[in-house]
Amino acid sequence: MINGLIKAIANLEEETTLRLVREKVESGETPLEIVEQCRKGVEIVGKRYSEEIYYLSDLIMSEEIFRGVMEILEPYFPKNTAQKEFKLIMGTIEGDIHDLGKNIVINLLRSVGFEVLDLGVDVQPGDFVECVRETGASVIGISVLLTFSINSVKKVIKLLGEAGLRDKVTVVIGGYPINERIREYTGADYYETDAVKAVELFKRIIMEKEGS
Amino acid sequence: MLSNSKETCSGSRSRVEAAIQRRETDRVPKGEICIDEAVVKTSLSVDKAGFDKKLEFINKLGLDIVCLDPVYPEFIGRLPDPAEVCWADLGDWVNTGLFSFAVLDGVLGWGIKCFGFNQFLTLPNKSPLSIHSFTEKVTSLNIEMAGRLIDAGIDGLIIADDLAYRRGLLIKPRDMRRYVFSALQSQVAEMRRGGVPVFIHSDGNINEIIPDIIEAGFNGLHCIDRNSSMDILELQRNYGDRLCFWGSLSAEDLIKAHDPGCLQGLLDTICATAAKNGFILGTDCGLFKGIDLDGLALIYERVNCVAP
Repeated sequence: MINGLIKAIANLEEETTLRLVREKVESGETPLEIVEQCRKGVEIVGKRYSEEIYYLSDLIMSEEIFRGVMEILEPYFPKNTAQKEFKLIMGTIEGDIHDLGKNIVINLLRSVGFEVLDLGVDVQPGDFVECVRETGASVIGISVLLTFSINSVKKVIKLLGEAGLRDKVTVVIGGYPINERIREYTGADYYETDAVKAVELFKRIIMEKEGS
Repeated sequence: MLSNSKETCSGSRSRVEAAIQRRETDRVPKGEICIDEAVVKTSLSVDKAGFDKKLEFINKLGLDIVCLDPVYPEFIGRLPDPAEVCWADLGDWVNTGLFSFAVLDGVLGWGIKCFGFNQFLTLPNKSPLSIHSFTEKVTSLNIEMAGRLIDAGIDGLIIADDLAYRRGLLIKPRDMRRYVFSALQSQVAEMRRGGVPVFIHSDGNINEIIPDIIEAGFNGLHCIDRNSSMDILELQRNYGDRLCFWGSLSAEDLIKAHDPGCLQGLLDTICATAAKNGFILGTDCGLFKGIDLDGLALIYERVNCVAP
């Protein structure tokens, strides 16, 4: 049976969620226990979204609620147990200004605790590489919806190679025209066309990297 | 060049009008919602793309429509004053013989720009009063700008608002109706009172709200993004007696058009669509740098021979 907090987040009840979190803190539950319940609630939101019960705005609402929860809990987190941040870089490739798919994936990733650097839209191939160099990020997500921008994705991979960074960085491309043939052509490591599945893919990549 | 174009264009306005009224046309009307200046410059090998060059480009492609984008003042975090907005060469375009559409931005587009993506999409949950007041401001802005455009002789208006993405609507249908469509309804009513047809443009899968679009009073719908499950033949079957459909060609279609088999497939679909009236051919995204213009020209040339 799911508890009240999980249910409140799953039903996108912001005020109830925040009230329950405050009550749980006061009653002595640890922040990690509370976050775990919230995570389960967010997971239900993601599932409802996958099943087309929830809309994009609901998904974003759950992220907003989760952010509010973290604001309440932040002072109670012992500094040495703070969640390890893992940087990902995401952006829409040059020549393309579509950002919806990218924004959805970023929102989903942030809602489960990842730090994502959003480079925005129409990002030059060299800027992805520069950002990797500056931040040490080891995963890049490139969104591309216009087929004529695919060569720019290939250029990102080429520039990473020239900069000696290719082995250190995993590149994921996404967007509806993408398929295995395009992945192979660009030299990216993975591709995904569905936002929810993309988040699972990023999680898997990151877990593997952390494991190694 | 211009005298030829006048001749070509003399039928354009009435051709498009007939399509909007879902009457028979002498050939399939064609139009692009957006033509990037870079495309004109590359196509005509010129450094500047002013009114004459744009018109030359439109005639070269055999289009019947020109779409005029609003030129806004620098964005300072709020809606502009209507007096600050203009449409380049409006006075010239309305006298070309082409059917002239002017584009106005919708509630979601302005909301996301003014509030931010996450903030605006959660506003119906967090602050219904704020979103209500904001939609009223967008309505006033658009009605005032539409009045100026109609007075200047514009033939039609397009409210461009990306209400959806590939998977579906950005916000719940309930909120879409309560905030977006209530505002659209009053805008469209006022615009149509001015005697011009009004289209809506939205990317994405908007199948769920086509009845709302009809109820709001729109004459037509632009985009019809097949990659977002928008099937033009099915739309025509279900709503072709109430809406004119414009668009449907994707950027991928233009690339595929170089293959004779694929081109024939595209032409067959266009012919089937055009046979039912109420159809304007065009890309679903407009013409941007990098788009396969040769592929588009192939489709447009062949369409003139085979359809309707």
